[in-house]
Amino acid sequence: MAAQSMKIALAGNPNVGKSTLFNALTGSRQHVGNWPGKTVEKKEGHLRLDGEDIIVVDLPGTYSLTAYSIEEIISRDFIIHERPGAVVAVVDAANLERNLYLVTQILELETPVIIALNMSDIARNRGLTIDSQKLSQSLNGAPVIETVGSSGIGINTLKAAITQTAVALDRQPTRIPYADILEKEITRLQAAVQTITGLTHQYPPRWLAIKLLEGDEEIRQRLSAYPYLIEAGNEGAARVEEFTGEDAETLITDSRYTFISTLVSSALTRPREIVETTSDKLDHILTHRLYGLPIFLLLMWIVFQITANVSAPFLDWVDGLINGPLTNWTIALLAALGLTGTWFEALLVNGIIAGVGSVLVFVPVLMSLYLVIGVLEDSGYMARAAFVMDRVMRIIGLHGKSFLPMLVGFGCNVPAVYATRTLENESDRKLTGFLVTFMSCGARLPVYVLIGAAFFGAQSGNLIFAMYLLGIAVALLTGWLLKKTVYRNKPPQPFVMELPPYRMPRLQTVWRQTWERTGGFIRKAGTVILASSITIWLLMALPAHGDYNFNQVPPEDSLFGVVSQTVSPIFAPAGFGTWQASGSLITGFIAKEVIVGSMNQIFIGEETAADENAPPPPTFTEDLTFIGTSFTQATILTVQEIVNIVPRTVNIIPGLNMPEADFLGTAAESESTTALESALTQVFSPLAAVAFAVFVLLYTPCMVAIAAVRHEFGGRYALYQIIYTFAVAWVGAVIVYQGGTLLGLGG
Amino acid sequence: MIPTTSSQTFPLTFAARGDTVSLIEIRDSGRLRQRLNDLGLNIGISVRIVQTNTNGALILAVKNDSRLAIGHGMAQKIMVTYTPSEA
Repeated sequence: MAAQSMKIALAGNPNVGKSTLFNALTGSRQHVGNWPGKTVEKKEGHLRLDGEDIIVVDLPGTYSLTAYSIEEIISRDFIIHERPGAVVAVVDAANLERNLYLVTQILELETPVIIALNMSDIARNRGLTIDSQKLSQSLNGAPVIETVGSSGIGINTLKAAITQTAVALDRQPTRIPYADILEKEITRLQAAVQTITGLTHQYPPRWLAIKLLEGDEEIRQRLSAYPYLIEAGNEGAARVEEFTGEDAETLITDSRYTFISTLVSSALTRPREIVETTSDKLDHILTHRLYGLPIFLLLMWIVFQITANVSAPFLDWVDGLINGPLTNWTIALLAALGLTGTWFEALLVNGIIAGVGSVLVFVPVLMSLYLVIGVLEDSGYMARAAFVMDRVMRIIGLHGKSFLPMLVGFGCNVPAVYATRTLENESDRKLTGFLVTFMSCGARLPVYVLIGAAFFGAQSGNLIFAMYLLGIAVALLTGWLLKKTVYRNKPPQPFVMELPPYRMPRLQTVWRQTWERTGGFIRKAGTVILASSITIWLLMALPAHGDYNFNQVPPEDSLFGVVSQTVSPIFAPAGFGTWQASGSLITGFIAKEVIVGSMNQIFIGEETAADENAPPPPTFTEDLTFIGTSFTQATILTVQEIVNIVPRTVNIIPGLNMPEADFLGTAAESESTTALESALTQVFSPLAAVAFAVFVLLYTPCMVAIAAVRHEFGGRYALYQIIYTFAVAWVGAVIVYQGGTLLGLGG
Repeated sequence: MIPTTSSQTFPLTFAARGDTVSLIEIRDSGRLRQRLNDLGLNIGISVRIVQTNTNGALILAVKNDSRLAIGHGMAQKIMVTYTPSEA
């Protein structure tokens, strides 16, 4: 009917399943998390209803529409200025009372409201019965619909309600009744507002009157052209305070909660007064003042065991796939085309397959990391980690909530920088943003896995765990230093955060999240890493000096080799002053994912010639059988590694020695080392390899993360970060190498 | 609901795990108090202390179904009293 697409908005508290409902309505995919403040960006999707296109806008999750945070201002400005056809207020049915607070504020904006009682299954499981008809009646007939976003229940009813609400323009807005003294002032202010048509066109007059009485800073600024209105608001608030002894803002909040509590007491029945929920009982243990922190560390240890060891069999499988069949088939195909021995073959096999392939090998590692992080997030534990870590974060003048962006940083630093937006205080944000880049992101993990496998075998999980701990320690130390210097004289910031109830992680959500995050990695492999692989290959094929032809040059005489050679003395004190090591580090500025890929190109490039008298390549059928049997084997080994987490965890305790499972009887055999791993052992000593890993952990974050820091905190700030991280990394690596040498570990 | 004048008020930090107390006053103006209000901590309500941390941070049960983690600094500013009926 309408020429322009109608807009509807989704509003709600953080953690009410708004994103899931958004997906269910629009069919589009987006990130779904389980800790507060995840939805920061504005998201749009399309919904087709009766042949009409409707734009669905996902507003940021907020608890209120006061002007105390960017998200709140975004949300209320959208409702005021964009005038959506309807606002779907997504409400956690299992936390009705608190959630309705936001709803009262949306109602006051006099926009058509539909209430989605989401997660109604959880409410029902807890024995809560909500009379949605009664609720609807008390809200002047605003539709109230029970939904379960994750399983699509109620979505069709919701869609029908959207169509109806959008055409029904005659409904009276629900008026939240305020205490008499407030109503008197509101009426007075409303009358004053209504004399100015410029304002009544833009804002609902009653809402503006309430905001003036509340002393809403942002509205005052906007109304600076009408100083007498602001003055009238101040006078009204002063009269209220004089009369009641309480300030107007508090009384307004009280009135809203009184309204809500009347509403809830008539519409909600609970079985009996449940004092302690199962979630509370879990909290007695998991957030305990004494064992909360050890439990957190134990969980983290298990996480890194899973990422390091459990994914290893599949890592080997993918590796075998790329270096075996895929490479063989490519070579055979090129031979059939008569391209054997050409530069094109070199580019494809040594450049692209070696470079991109060696990064793709780590897809199983990242998938398992994202899988466990997803489980922790969706179960509700992540928010508890913030509470448990609060006392550690205090040391550096931050509170527990700052730990959440850091945990996100374990996945990727870029969203971690943006996740600092959930912090209210500006300098908290900056400090946290500075520290998150020390959190070891998924892209750095392959380097540790590689070094761990090459030098430490079954103990590689310990190296990886140590790297993660070191990242946290350096972040804490940096924070402590900054607190003593730049951020001196700063009072500690208030900490308050909602804890979602514990629940069984939903496979669907966790899987989608894992897949999305891994997908991001694979896309990077297809773009950034592909481009840098080609560039590195090219630089390695171009001779810098001597009488070499293109693609015939030994690596150390190539352009790449010469540049890396020039840089390498810097790293000599850290024990890896070789051109190969510095070359890989240079490429890591682009993206940390690239490091392993370029190492492969650099180190393996020298080795290809050594394979002259290799056995004839397997036939196509042999290859297929190999893929199948090795997959089965990898699956069995993965199960074995999961089982082995138990003995490995028990064995941390000195004196205990629980045997590990060995399903295929292969544990005694030395693990097959890849070509890259054996090449590494020739260039690095074990100690230098550890120093190298430390450097990779700490040094300048990738371009994308720097861009994010610049975007959020400014260019000067990004520059400090580049310099500081590089310096810290160098010092850290030198300390490890020199210290280790002094202790006699240098051999 | 409104406590008698004789009952003592004290900062939330002094409450122990398992206690139920009612909110008397938030000794702050503006932003912080509004934040607490938005999260359901308004004057007159009862809260139960679910957990305490060694640094004075707390987990509170608010309005039956909501759980909030709250820092020591904030808890110091929240004045409470034991709810007479639930002693």
